[in-house]
Amino acid sequence: MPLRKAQAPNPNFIQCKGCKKTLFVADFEANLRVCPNCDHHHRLTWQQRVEVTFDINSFTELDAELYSGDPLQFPEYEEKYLQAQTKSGMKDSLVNGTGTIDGQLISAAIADFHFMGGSMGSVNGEKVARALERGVELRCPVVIFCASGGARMQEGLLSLMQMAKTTAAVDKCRQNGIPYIAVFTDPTMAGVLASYASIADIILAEPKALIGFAGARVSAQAQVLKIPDDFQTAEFVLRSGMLDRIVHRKEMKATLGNLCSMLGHRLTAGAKS
Amino acid sequence: MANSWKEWEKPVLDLEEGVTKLKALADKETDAIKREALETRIEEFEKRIENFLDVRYSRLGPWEQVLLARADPRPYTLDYIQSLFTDFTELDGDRRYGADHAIVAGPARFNGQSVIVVGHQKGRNIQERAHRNFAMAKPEGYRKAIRMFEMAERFRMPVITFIDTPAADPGVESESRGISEAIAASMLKMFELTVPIVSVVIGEGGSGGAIGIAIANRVLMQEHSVYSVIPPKDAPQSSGAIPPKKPKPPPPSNSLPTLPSNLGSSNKSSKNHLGVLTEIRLRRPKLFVMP
Ligand SMILES: [Zn+2]
Repeated sequence: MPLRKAQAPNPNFIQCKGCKKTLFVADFEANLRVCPNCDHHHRLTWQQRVEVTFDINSFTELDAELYSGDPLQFPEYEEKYLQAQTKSGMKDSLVNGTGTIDGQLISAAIADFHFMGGSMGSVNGEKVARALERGVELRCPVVIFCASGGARMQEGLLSLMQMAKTTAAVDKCRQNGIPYIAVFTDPTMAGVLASYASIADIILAEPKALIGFAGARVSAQAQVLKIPDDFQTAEFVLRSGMLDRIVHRKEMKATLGNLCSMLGHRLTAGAKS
Repeated sequence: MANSWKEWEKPVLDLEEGVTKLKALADKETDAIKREALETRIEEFEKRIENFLDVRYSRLGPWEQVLLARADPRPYTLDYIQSLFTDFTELDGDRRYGADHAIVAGPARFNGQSVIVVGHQKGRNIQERAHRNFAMAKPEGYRKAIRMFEMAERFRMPVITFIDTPAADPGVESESRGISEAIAASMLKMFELTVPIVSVVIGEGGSGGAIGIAIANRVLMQEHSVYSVIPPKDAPQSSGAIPPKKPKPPPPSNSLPTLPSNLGSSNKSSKNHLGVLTEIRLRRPKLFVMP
């Protein structure tokens, strides 16, 4: 006899990860997966992100065929990779493509934390770089949703090199006057934060998103003084001057649309003529 | 010496109160002749107010100009942004150290045109003033401004700046993070821009804190605003006069404005005798109402 009877989860209810309150799934979904009670912004899959960000049916995935090899023959990498692929239906931890926001063409990349912690390996980095370069080609703004624990250790130095590659792609945007907006979602960490994410023209973040370079435990060890309570939250990072704005998920589409059209005012004019 | 602009506006306030009362009476009055008599009196009162303002405001001393420039009913940067611009999206980061609320900045639309707006922001009550640090920007504020200017250049957006600060933040922290370098670098960046820049002194243009974001193709001043090389509070106040400072030579070349020298105040009588400004925007002396 089992001590506790395993309860089948009721598909109509979900527990908030912030306040632990039980929520109606329908309400929760209608609220863009933000808790109506405590405003906790739950992580989104890339499909959900597309749905809340882009005009209906406007998003087209590109570079979908790319997937990683196992160059280092890293123990269990292939197995884990295949598992993640089967579970998520994604080839790697990031999707790129084009879509429109309020009718305006955007080149986008969307990381999905559910796939191996959104880690940046060769494919993730390549797709980020291509999204940025596509902005230059199509003369449209670039929006990247970040969600990553950092570089993918299973690809070793090749993962580290993605930091350089993506940074070079951002430079290409800068040289060509292409606006690039990064959105930090929970969590945006380490190698991603220390490369293309932090050099965007404008950086937005979702409320309370975890944002940082080193893990909180590592920071605690390196720090003599007490760590602030909200250490590495979006609010802390805003105070530190690294963010431009914390934007509620409900406002995100409008904010992005507005910023893209203002910064990309010449691009839109060019497209019309 | 006056402590507040309210002191010399007191007679106006009394007269205005009278006008309001008379207007209420006139509204209720059913007799046409009596009503006309009331209206005549109202007109007379209004003329007296106008005369008083004309005379009083043409004779303001330097210290009174400063008081006026600091008068808290004046519109502040965010008031101008709200009434003249659309889609303003404030951006906070300096990408270096912190968020500075003494300077507000971000993209917006002016008559539909994409622009970058940067301006000092004062507060209206104690909490707001503390939050805005009395519009005294720290290095973070100027470094945020520099980021905005770079963005303006990259995306070909004209820049509009609003000047309203007693001075840059004089604290130890600001010194240790290089307030002087931040101001100088901000001016340098503005000189480098090839997009047009318009700066408007909307209240106090205090010293380096002001000029750090005031290098422009056109510098405008609202009437009864001031532009000075040191914060007026540091000048002897007993005489009510600001001691003259030796005017600095204008920078070489081009159409950009020269540096401020001694207290430049803007009113009908003392406009622009130093050649610092490109234009003075005249408004009614009682200017404390947004258009
Ligand atoms: Zn909750």
